[in-house]
Order: sequence, then C-alpha cells, then structure tokens
Amino acid sequence: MRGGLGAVLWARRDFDRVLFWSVVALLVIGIAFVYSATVENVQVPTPLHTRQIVWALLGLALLFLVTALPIQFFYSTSYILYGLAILLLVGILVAVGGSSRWFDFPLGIRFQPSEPAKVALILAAARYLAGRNVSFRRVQDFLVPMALGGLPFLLVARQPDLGTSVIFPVIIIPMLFWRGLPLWAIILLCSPGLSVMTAFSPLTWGLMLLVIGAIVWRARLRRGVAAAVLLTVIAFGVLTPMAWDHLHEYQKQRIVTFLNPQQDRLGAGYHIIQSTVAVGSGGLLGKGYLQGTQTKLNFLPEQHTDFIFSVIAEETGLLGALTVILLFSLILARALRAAAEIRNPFGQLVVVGATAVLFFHFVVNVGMALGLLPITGLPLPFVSYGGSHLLSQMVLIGLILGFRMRWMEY
Amino acid sequence: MIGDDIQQHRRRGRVLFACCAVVLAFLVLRVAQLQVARHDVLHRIGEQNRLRPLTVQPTRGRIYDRQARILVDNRPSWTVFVTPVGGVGQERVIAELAGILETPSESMRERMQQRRGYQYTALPVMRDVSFDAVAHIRERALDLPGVTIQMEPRRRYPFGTLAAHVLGTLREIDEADLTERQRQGQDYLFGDMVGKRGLELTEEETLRGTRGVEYVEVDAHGRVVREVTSAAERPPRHGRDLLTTLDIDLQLAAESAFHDTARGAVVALDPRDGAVLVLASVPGFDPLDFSGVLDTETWNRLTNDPDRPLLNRAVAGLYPPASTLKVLTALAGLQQGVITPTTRLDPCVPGGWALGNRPFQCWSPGHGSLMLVEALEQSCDVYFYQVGVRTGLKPLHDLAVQFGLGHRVGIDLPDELAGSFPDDGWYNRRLGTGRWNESSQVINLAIGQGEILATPLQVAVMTAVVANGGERVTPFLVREVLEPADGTLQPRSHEPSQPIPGLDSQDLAVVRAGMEAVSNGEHGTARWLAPRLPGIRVAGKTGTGQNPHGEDHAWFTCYAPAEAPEIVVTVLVENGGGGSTVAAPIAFEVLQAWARTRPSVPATVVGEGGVR
Repeated sequence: MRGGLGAVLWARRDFDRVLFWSVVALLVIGIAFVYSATVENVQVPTPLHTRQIVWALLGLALLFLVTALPIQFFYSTSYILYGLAILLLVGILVAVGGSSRWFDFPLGIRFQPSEPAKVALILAAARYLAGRNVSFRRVQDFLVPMALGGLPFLLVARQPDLGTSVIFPVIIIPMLFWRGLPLWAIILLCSPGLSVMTAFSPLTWGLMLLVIGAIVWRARLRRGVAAAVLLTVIAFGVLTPMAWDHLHEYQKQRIVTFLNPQQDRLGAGYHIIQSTVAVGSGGLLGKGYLQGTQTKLNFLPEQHTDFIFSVIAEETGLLGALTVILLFSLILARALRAAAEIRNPFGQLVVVGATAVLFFHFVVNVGMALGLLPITGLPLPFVSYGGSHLLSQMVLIGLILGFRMRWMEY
Repeated sequence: MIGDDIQQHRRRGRVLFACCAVVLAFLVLRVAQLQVARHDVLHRIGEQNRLRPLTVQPTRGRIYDRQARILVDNRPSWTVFVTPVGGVGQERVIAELAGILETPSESMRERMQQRRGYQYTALPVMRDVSFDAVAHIRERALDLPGVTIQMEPRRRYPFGTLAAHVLGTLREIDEADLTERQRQGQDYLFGDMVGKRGLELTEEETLRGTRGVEYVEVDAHGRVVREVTSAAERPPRHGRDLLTTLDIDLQLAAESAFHDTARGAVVALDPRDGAVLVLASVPGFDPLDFSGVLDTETWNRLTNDPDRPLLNRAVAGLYPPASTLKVLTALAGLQQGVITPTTRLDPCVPGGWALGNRPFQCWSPGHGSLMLVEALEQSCDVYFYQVGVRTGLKPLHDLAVQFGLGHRVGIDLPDELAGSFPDDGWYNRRLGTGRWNESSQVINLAIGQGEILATPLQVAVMTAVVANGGERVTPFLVREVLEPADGTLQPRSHEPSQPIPGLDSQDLAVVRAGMEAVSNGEHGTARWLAPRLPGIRVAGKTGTGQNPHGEDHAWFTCYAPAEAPEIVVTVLVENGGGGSTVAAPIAFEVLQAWARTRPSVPATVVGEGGVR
C-alpha cells in the first residue's frame, strides 16, 4: 500500500486515516464473517470469502482511483453519469423484462445497475443544488432534485425492488437540508410518505394531517402552494389502501409479516424471528467465531448478505455488534465533519449525499437484523457479500476521502 | 453559496449527526435489549431451534395363529424422506435423488406436489430402499439437503402367501381416507401406512399403535447433525398383537389341496363358538407385493386377472348353495310337519317328478321312494322338490335366515357379502305381484338352486348350527389381544351363540343321521370318505351347483366328529364339477390335518373307531 498511487496519497496530510482504516476494518470483518456464514453451507467453485477478498481489493483500488481524481472531474461529468445510470436501469427493465435486478455475467458475476445509479444521483443532485441561483424561493429548486431522485426510484421500483428504490428519494432530503431548506419544509416534503405510513389508521392519519396543517399555516405559504401540499397529503392517504391491492403478494406478505412476525413462524416471519434469536443468543461475548449455531445450522436466511450482522452478533455478541456500530459511527462522524470543512459547495453536497447512502443502508440493514424494520434485502455496507454494492460504497468513500483532501479547493 | 459561512455548515453537520446519533443510539439500545435483557429467553429458543421433532413410527402389532405361530410380523427397512424446502435447490435434489433411487423424477415431483398442507413435514418418497441406495444417499448427504433416511418397520410374512386374504394388506393412506380419519380426530399424516384389507383393515386401531417423538439436532436443511436426548421425548406406543383363531396347519392343508388353476374357498369353524380355523380363498396373492410401494404393473395384473385373486371368495364369493341347502329344506319340512322321518314320498323315477304338467328331473334318476335319511344320503332332488312344495316359501325362507343365509353373518373381516334368499316381497318386486307361482319357485329353492346366493362362510355357519345342536354362531378370527408392553392378554368379546327358537332336537337328530349317512352310508354321495378317515366319524353334505355360465360349482360341507362336533369344514370349488369328487377331497385333506394335530383325541377313541 505504500507504493505507487497509494504512496502519493498517503503522503497527503489531509487524507482521513481514521475514516479509511474504519472502512478497512469493516472490510476485514466482512470477509471473516462471510467465511463463517458460508464455509459449510454453500457449494460453489470459488468460495465466497475468496471472491469477497477479490472484491475488497478491487474496491480499494477503485477507492484510490476516485481519490486521485479532481472535484472538477465529477462536477463536469455528473449529468452524463446520471444519464448513463438511467439508461442502464431502463436497459435492465427492457432486456430482462422487469423480472430481474441484475445483469448476469460469466463466472456467476452479477452487476446490479441500481448501485452506480446511487452514485450518479448524488453527483447530479449535488451539481444542481450547488448552482448559485438555488434559493428554494422557486418551486423548481426542490422539485428538480426530487425529480432526479424520483426517476431512478420509479425505475427500480418497477424491477421490482421496493426496498432498494426507497434509497433514491432518501438521498435527496439531507442534501436539500444542507443547501438550506428549513426543517419544516423537509417535514412537508416527507408528508406524502407520512400519509402513506399512517393511511391504514384513520386516527393517526388525522393527527398527522393536523400537524401538517399547522406547519403549513405557520409557514405562511402562498395559498396555492398550501392547498397543493394538503391535497397531495390527502390524496396519498386515500390512494394508499387502493394501491395496497396492487402490490405483489410477497410485498404485502413482507409488510404484514413485519407488523406481526409471530403470525407465520415458519413462513416469512421466520426470517425476523430467526435473526433476533441469533442476535439475542449471542449474549455479551458471543458463541465464538465459527461457533454460531443459528449460523452453522443454517437457520438464518441469506446470512452472508442480508443477515451478516446477525452472524456477527451471534458469534461475537454485544462486543462485536457494538464494534461494528462504533466503526460506522466513526465513518459517519468523519464524513459529516468533512462536509463542513470542504469549501466547494458541490463537494459538500456530494459528501452529504454519500453519507446519507451509507447511513441509510446501515440503519435499514441492522434494523432488519434486529427485527425493527421489514426485510428489504439492503446489504450492510462493506460487510455483506456482494460485488456491485461493495464497489459503489467504495466509490462513495473515495469521493468523501478525495474531496476531503481537496477541502481548500473551491 | 457565497453567503453561507463555515459556521452555518458546522451547525447543519451537527444537526445531521445528531439525527444519525439518535437513530444509532436506538440501534444500540435494541442490540443491548436482545443480547442482555432478552438473552436468556432467546438463547433457549435458539437451543430449541436446533432440535427437530422426529416422529418415530410405532411397530405394528403382530398376528399369530391359534398356536402362537407368527403369521405377520415386522422387519426393519429404510425409507427415504424429503422435507420440502422449495426453491431451485429442490429441483436439483429431486433430480439427483431420482437418479440414485432409479425412479423417474416426474413421479417423485408429482408426489411432492401431492403433499398439500404439509410443507414442513418430511414426506416419504420411497419405501424399502436397498442398502446400496442408503449408502449412496448418506455419502451425498451434503448435496441432498432435506433428504433424510429413517428406519420404518415393514411387514413380513413367515408363511408367505398363506391366508393372505385374512391377514390383509397395508397401503399408503389415500386422500379420501386421510381426510376422513383426520376428521374423526385420528392421528394420521400424509404418507402413513394404513390397513386396506383383511385383519389389517378391521383391526387397524389395535395393530397400529401411537407414534412417538424423538429429537435430533438438525440444520435448516433438515440434515441431522446428531441425535439428542431430551425430556420431551415420547417413545412410540407399539401396536398390539392379535391372537387369532386360525390354524396355519389346516390353512396350509386347505390351500395346497387345490389344483394350481382352481378357484374356490375353504372355511373351517369350531361349531361350538364360531372360531374360524381356516379361511382360504384360491387363487391368492402375495401380500409382499403390497408391502413396499406397489407398482402400477403389479396392481393392474392383480386387478385385471380374470381369476380375481384379490377377491376373498370365502366371505365375498356368492354361489347357489345347491344340495347343501337340502339340510335346511329337510328341517323346514319336519318343523312344519309336512313330513316325518318315516314319510315316503313319490318315487324318484327316470321321468322325474311333475309339478302340474312340468316335470322336474333328479340329478340321478331312479332313487325310488325314499325316507328322509336316505334322501339326504343320496341327495335325491325329487324327494326335496316335494318337501319344498309341501313346506312353502315362507317357512323355508325364515329358517334359512335364522341359519345365517341372506344377511351378513358378522365375521370380523371387511367386505363380507350378504348373499340373498328370496321371499314373497322379493318375487313380487322382481316378477310382479301375482305374476309368479310359489310352488314353481320353491321347488328350485328346495334344492339350493334358483335365486339363492350364499357365501361359503354362510354355508359353514349353517352347517355349524346343525352340528352344535341348533345354536346360531357368529364366526370370529380374533380371540385375544396381546399388549406387548406388559404381556397382558385381553380376550376379545364375541357375540355369544344364540339358540334358534322353535328348532326341535329330534328333527335335528334325523338330519344329522342323514348327513352321517352321506359319508358313511352304503349309498352316500361321499361314502369313500369314511374308510379314509378311521377313528373320526364325519357327517357332511355334498352339493353340485348348476351354473348357467359354465361347469358346475362343487360344494362339500361337513362336521366332525359326528358324535360331538369340534370342526365344521366347508369347501367350494368354482366350476369344479361334482361335490363329492372335487370338493370333498379338499375337506378330507383339512380333516386329516386336523386329526393329526388334534391334541384332545385320546388313543381309545381311535381304537373305538377302528371297530367300525
């Protein structure tokens, strides 16, 4: 690591070593527990942990490559990259007929176009929001970023991969906040989502509507805008029960199961229960590396991808689980500090968006493993097995590290 | 962003981090809740999680004959189970398993789809697999998730095909049976074996037992990691054994007395209580054909065979009883007072006996004018035509019903048929009221022809009533039930013998004298029998049933010893010809075997017999 490009980078005082080594530590943990999760159960020509090592090395190389590129490069190519990412998403819908999330390549390698789309969206939205005339006094100032996030959201939701698609609008919100959109406005932006979540409980929905109404009143919006916001909220509340009937059976099942996992202990609720049992049975220090019974007996579903956190928690207990959470907290803290230090507004926004992606994945994945959130299939960044995802996360880290090194550039 | 200063960004960074921190703190609390507060509970669940209950099939009860010889017991065998896990892996597993078991994968896939609501229970896909296949599957265990092998007891028949109809068969439970038994609250699962015929069916509850549970540590693919001793273990309650009344020596004598191509039945009863010593139906089948998975080819061969080997002719074969019924006609005539033992009726002459202007022939014209004993001895049709006409339909019918004809006699076997003995109503329905003549119908019934149909078992019961002095017996096969756990014997209660009201012992004595003459008299239709069974006096009646579809059915029904009857033997040979020449020799074989093994025959009795 101390030769070539790495050596050049290493010399830079502003390379965030804490952030970098936290990522490396998570990569090592990931490889170790992909090994633990798959050593006995999955029979493939190349063991998955070996593949994961290759992906990690490729990811580090990509990280350094991204770090080496100037901010201006990403600024100028952002819209092109966004266009390409959208083309890939359309391509998979057309090519595979809407039934797959991957392009399949030889050697069992799968490429998931929703991964580069996350990076591209961050860059494109950051470029738009970094524009000098963005002030949120005009509707398009937040409608355009929302549209940028909405397009990949719809395309990925069509795949259908509802879990992954939610990330796209979620990326935009902290970026808007960073650009100066007040909190009340963000609540209003989220209000259609709140309306959907409360649509099945009239009382909660009514309360939510009152709060939104109060915010609209306090914000002294123009009448037209206020009416549009309230009508949208009401429309979402009314349409959600109708849309429910159009969901795929497995999607309904996942939501129902999340709400009441005991209802179907051997069906879909199985995953949630088995995962909490794995975590809980780990105790303070865990059952020991390679000793997890839930893992070894294969009761955990998708344990090397979706439920890798459960494997770690079972085998290394509270100690291991807190270590992973701590490492992520360090990455988040360092990334947000970098965002405040960087002077280039485009750079700031990119770092905020990248942080949002990492955070969202982390929370959704760990929340799922702990039985707090429905099963969405989002991986744990740097730890879960999987190439496309690991590479896209490494690109995000590369952006954060690289922009941080160039904090003085404007 | 010219106006924005670093302070503002610091603040927003703190706000964002605060939001993140709140969420992260929440996750930390949840981790602590699961791993510290709920650790004990979840740890225990995790332990149970690895334990899979495994049903242990009870050993099915054995079936013994009257001398405690084993007729049916069990041997260990291997059964391959698949726990459906779904997904693409399932297809590969099925394909590979089908290859090892050398069976088409389509049929196996079909079987997996039949499983209905039993997604998570192991389903038996192949029974009685070879040791080689078991070894092969064990070797490939890692590539065959969800495939398990369990020991299951299978039926074994030490006497081969003997008494197959009585012992019965097992088959895998079918949809309708399963639904019905589950509805009744019985513990049956898809893939269970259940009695389908014979005693296996009627005694299903006695033989089956209750399944047990043991625990094994498994992985999520159902692969057994190791066995675990657990307090929740429940051993299976094994099925109870049946002590039957069958005598396998006599059964063997009966079945081997038939020619290879013959069809027929033999029933031997103890006339004192109705215990069944022999119940044979020829041709038989091999119950082993049913013990594993019955292939369609074997099934088609058995069901399409014109000789109908699966039919238990002893209880479900219907034949005109022919001259064996003359015993009843004689009794009815005596009872009604239309004849006395010394009444001589119109002579049997070559021209036959005319009812109106229609002559009815005797099977052997020229018997002359006979009294009752002689008429039975020579089985003179002309004599019994006249008795029948004098007695009338109703008295004959009523007596026949009292003797067990025209309805099920109630043996503990499935599929017993009632046969028929017509009465007024029957003819009115069949021929139209007033459009039939009683005499011309009863004249046929009197010699056991016409619309009478009886099973060999019914004829045996009828004979037993004559033999035991007028008591209607209910035949049975199961005498006692043995609880294998503690060796206790529980006698099976049976319908006691019922004296037939209005039956005069003098009348019976005359009929019995006639039957004795059949095998002992100078002109007896089976007079060859007595010299060949020294020491045992046999009383019997031959029958040769006219059969419009072919050769006559041959009957012989008898009891012995005549003085104090201990056994009734009834033989029917389908399309055999004459009762005396075809059926009586089979009865002779049975009686000879009986005499050989009869423990209660004192030597003096044999000596006395020798005097004759």
